Amino acid sequence: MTARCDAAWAARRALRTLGWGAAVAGAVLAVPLLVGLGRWVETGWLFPTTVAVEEVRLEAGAIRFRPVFDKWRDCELVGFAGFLDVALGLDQDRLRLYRALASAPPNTRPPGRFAGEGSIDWRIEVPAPLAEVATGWGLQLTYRCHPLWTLSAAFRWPLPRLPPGG
Amino acid sequence: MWDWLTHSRAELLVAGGLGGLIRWITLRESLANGLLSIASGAIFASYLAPFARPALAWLFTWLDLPDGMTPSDGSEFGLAGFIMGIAGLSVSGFVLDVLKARRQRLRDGK
Repeated sequence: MTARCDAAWAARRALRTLGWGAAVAGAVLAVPLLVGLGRWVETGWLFPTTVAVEEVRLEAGAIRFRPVFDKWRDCELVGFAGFLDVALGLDQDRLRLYRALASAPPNTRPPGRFAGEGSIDWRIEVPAPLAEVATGWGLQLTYRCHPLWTLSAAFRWPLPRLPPGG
Repeated sequence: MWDWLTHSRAELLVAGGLGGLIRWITLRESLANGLLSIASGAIFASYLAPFARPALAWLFTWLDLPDGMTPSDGSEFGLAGFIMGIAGLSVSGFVLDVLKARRQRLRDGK
């Protein structure tokens, strides 16, 4: 019993020190924390952002596009994947195989952050058998504009037929 | 003198010492114990601050402060030293307090 009393007394003293230390550290951090909280609220809750794409061009096998955000934001491109639409009538296994083949890595690494607008280049390498049945292609883009949420947008271009090799 | 105080190692020692000062003030200990707390805090900060620094660096990065408010590289080191100085003193103080109370009871024959 006495040992527990000793421990409780020592714990109270330790907690008193820790509490005052936390108060001092919190006071030091208060200003940047408040600024960060305000920025977090302002960018994430009060003014949700949407993303759209204007100006899409195909240039020698590369897609150039310009994302446009409805308000100025720092958005980071965190994910993208290419996909192909293939002709109907294929069995599901082949369809899945083709879709897997179509998620090729980009040949150009886009800039990481967008402020307002920007553009990236993208090239999808298309395996020859797949090009025979492809009817369209597109991109799936994911942006992170806030710690809480991301924006995602998909774009498709209906094309009659892709040439082999993109 | 100012150059020495702003040196990263000295910054750690000062921050840890300030942690010891907090302990001295809050527990109202004797002058000797207070000086020991300051020295101990400086030592704790010197060796333990590198463990807290990544967490603080992550916090400042996550806050994504506007230009001019972002802490310059290494400035979170002092705060890490202060936090680890306080934490180390609290843990070691807890152990020492338990031992001290135990010794006092044995001495009193309880």
